[in-house]
Amino acid sequence: MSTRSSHPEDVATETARRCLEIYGADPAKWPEAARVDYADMIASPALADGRAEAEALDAALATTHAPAASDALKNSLLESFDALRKRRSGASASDLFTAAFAFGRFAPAGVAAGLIAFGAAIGIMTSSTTGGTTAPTASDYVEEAFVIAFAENEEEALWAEE
Amino acid sequence: MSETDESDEALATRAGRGDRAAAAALISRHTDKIFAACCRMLRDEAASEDAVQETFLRLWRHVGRWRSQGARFDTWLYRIAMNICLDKLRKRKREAPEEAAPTMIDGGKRPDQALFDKDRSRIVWAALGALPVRQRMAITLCHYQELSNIDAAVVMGVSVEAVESLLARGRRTLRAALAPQRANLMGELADEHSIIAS
Repeated sequence: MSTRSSHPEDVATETARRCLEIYGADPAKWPEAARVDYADMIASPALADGRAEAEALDAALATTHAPAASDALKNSLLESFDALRKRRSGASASDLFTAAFAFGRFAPAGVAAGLIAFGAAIGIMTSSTTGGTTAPTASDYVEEAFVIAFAENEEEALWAEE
Repeated sequence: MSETDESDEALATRAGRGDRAAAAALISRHTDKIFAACCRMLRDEAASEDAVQETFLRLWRHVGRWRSQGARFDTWLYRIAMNICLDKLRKRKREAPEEAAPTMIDGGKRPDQALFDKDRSRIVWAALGALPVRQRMAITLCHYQELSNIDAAVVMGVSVEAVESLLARGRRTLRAALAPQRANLMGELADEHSIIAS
């Protein structure tokens, strides 16, 4: 809050007036520093109009009451926690994998790329030596690496969103 | 130490490890105020319940990785909730742009029509609903939820000066919108006070 006057009394009056305009007539809602220094000023006759305006608006605002949250809503929030916990514990193998690479933001992508290359190499080698009978296993491995890398990126995107 | 004595930060850490009691304590401590803030932003109970559910779902997803770093837990929670409310309001505006018309209050009535409405609470709700979204958010957070101007600034992602400007403009707009029924509003309030006093 800036004030234009340099006289201490004017500054105090102006600051209290600004507080009335911004925060209302209840000094409890003012910033702490302003409350300590200027709350007494609202009794000043110079601020009578501003105080009356602020009191009137505060009284009008006090006529609205937001409803309380229902128990059903609170129960559903806990259920959502349970569901997520259950899903995560079901995916513990994946968690171990991701936890192992929690040391760096780009590590999972790098390692996933390595795994993809490794899986592809294994696939090529085994298909050439066994006539392709083990190729689907190698493909599955590569696909899993893709899925894990994708899940990691999605989590990062969600986090960045907030 | 029971859950009721524990700090939000400690509860959040435990909830992040899958502790159900800690999650229940966070729900018990924060749901009412987050729901109230959503109601004031969205003016729709069902939509506010959805917003609270989305807020806590995001909380559960990320609480394990949340670190205070000087920010309060409830400030973070408010920030998630207000972002979800903004998304819902944007979607609502896209689907029914006329509802967002800032000069309309009380479900489409002009202020002079609303003058004759006896339900003063509905008039004030309507005036709040007609405020530009950021002004409404500043008033919701500072006036109703009693956040400090600093915390409100963090929630809204703006400076403290910007919050103060939004509050001042919001209150000025409300005063103008409610001016026609001010005598009615204040008269009824004064009558109630005199009844209580007698």
